Amino acid sequence: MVRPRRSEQILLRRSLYLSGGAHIALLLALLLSLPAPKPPEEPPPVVEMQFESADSGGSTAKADKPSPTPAPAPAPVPNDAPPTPEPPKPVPNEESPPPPPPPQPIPPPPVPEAEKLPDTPIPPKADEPSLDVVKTPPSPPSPPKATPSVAPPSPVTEPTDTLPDTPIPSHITQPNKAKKTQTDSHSLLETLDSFRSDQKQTHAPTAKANPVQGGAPNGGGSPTGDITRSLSVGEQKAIGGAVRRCYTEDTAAKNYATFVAHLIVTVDATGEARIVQFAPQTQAQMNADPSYRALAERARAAVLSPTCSKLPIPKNLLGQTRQLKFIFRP
Amino acid sequence: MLTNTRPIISDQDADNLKSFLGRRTVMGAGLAAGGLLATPLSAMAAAAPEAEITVDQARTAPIPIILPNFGGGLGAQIAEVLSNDLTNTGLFKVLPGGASTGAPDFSTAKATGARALVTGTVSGSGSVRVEMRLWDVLTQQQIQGTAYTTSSANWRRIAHIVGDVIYERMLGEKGYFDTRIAFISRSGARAHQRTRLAIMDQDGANARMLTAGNWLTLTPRFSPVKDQVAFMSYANNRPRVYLFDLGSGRQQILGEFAGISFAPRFSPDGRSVVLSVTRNGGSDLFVVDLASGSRRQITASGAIDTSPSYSPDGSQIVFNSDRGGSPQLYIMSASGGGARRISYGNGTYGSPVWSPRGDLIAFTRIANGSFSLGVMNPDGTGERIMTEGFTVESPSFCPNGRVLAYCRQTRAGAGGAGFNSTIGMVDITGFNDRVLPTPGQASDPAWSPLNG
Repeated sequence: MVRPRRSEQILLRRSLYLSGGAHIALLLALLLSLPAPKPPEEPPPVVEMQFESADSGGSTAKADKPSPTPAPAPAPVPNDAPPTPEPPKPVPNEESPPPPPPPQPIPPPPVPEAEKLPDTPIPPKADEPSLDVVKTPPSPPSPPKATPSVAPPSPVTEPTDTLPDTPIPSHITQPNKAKKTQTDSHSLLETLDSFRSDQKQTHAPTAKANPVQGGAPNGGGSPTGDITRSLSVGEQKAIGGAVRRCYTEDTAAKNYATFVAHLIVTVDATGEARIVQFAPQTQAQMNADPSYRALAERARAAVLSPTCSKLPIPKNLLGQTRQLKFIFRP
Repeated sequence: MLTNTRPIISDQDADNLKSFLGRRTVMGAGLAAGGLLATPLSAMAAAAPEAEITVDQARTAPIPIILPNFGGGLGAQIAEVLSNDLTNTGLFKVLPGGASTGAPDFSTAKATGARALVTGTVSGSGSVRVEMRLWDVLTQQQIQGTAYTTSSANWRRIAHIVGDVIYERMLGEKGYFDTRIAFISRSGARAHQRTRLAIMDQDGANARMLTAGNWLTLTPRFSPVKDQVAFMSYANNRPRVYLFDLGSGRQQILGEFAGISFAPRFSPDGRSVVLSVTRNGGSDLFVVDLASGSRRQITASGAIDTSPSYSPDGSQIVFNSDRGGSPQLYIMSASGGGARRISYGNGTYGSPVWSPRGDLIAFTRIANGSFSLGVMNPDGTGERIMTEGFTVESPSFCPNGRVLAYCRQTRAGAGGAGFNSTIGMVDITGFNDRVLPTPGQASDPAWSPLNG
């Protein structure tokens, strides 16, 4: 090939330098300006109690016990989310747990101190407790303590319910008389509403609901723990091969060519064969024919022998006692 | 800096590559590869899992069994005889050790790989009592237990009986340790050998001579029901079949025949004997009733019919005949009649013996100048050879049909030098071919029935 011209050589050299320099500069820039590792995503709406007393105006917080009480009150999960059972939140004060379905008799208890709020008929009470009960896990059915100062245990309204016109008294017990009360005050409710909309669930929970408890009738597994059919062909062959290593027979025995034995082997949680039973027809033949019994006992010895009793059962099937069915042939 | 700017590949190759790696071909290849990768492996596999896991193709291996020394002294001797019996079958592997008494230590036994374990004791002096327990190591249970009382002189027999019990429980068939073998004891020079009827235990012990050896004695056969041995003797230069009573030592002639009578065999019920009698260049088969002495001819082919043997149920007889031109094996009904040939291999066949199990016929075959000993099915199929040699002959089955005893003779050199005649034993699978120790040379083994 012809040697390139000097001018072209110079051009080549220069562009090479430029290119290399540009690459190095780019690399350096990237390395030095690595973005800081991103902080983990914000968890879905955390209950953040931000008391902006200035906005709401009015003595909202004065009448209640401060902070977390309204929120951790068993707010029922909104309907649009899959029904994850809410763990019962610890109630910090002596308020009673959400009442079981027949709390209807509770409404009538007297409201001695809260004279100021007595005229709330509390109509939605009827459905609220039931809703409440459905959403929360079975709470201990302790009878609602007859708290001395009882505000009739009414849970706070859910966002789906229409807001009652009248302020619903909180079911937080109030041993002390409210110092400053204000009738027809919506501010507390509005505040609570705004909090609730903050904590409204926007994403479906990522955890799965608990599976059906109590054992469905057609739930997985067999009544005897027989997992032979849940093994794949390859796994069955592997187990058969493992037992074959120890399978010795008296090949000159009389009826050896037609020998067939059915065994049911119980393996423990680690996959080791522990107990061997013979299928009924095998057992009957064993009882009748001593030479058949000798052959079948060798089959049993093959499974139980210490060299081969550790069967290669797949990991997902370990962990409890299982049964396997074997058929031994000559 | 680049000084040499020659291209790496030639222009021709570059053109080829360009066409090869054109966009379309690369896309097609990628799609194909992707499709292949996406195919789940399970689609390639075929079968569905079965209801039972199959285990097959067993191999033959001896059963490991732990044998203690039964407390020493006589017990140790019994243990040694027992251990030899079990080991010589080739079906047991004896692991010495273990405690003789008490509950066995199964975990240790299991670790040694044993499948069975024996414990036992021997007590007493003049009259000994032998106790034995057989345990299954893997299920940790006792599976057999026996006790025997006998005079201390009879201790070998107890050892054999204990061995039979273990054999039967572990293998499912009756053992053969408590049996004897009648044979011909040979001594002297090859040309003029002294032959005597003798008997010994199946392990070679307690050998004793029964006749004086003045005359040529051949082919002893045990009676299946009585303690008697039929044999052929040239006493007084008259070759005839005699009956030897082992209890009394008395001999009597079995039937008077015009010709030479030889190759006797008892019927399974022990009441008659089938034998060959010569007649004008040939020989025929006769059945002689032992009680009445009456005889009946059952073949009349004009050829040499000899070496008859009853089937275990007594309904058929296999024999050797050269009616077809060469000595071959034939089967016919026990009352005579049409005979059917069953041997079709290479060579000539002789001395057939029907196994007591009924499933095999042993024979000798002569081909290419040497002998071989084999077995075949009663219909002639499945012929297989157990052993070969210069001379291997006179097969005899043990009572459960698992072992063949036979006579092996080596070639005699000049003047009879180097001639050796021994009794060997081989399993019917062809394994475990071994020599039975005899006092002097021996031939013509005949296995007694069980407990005989």
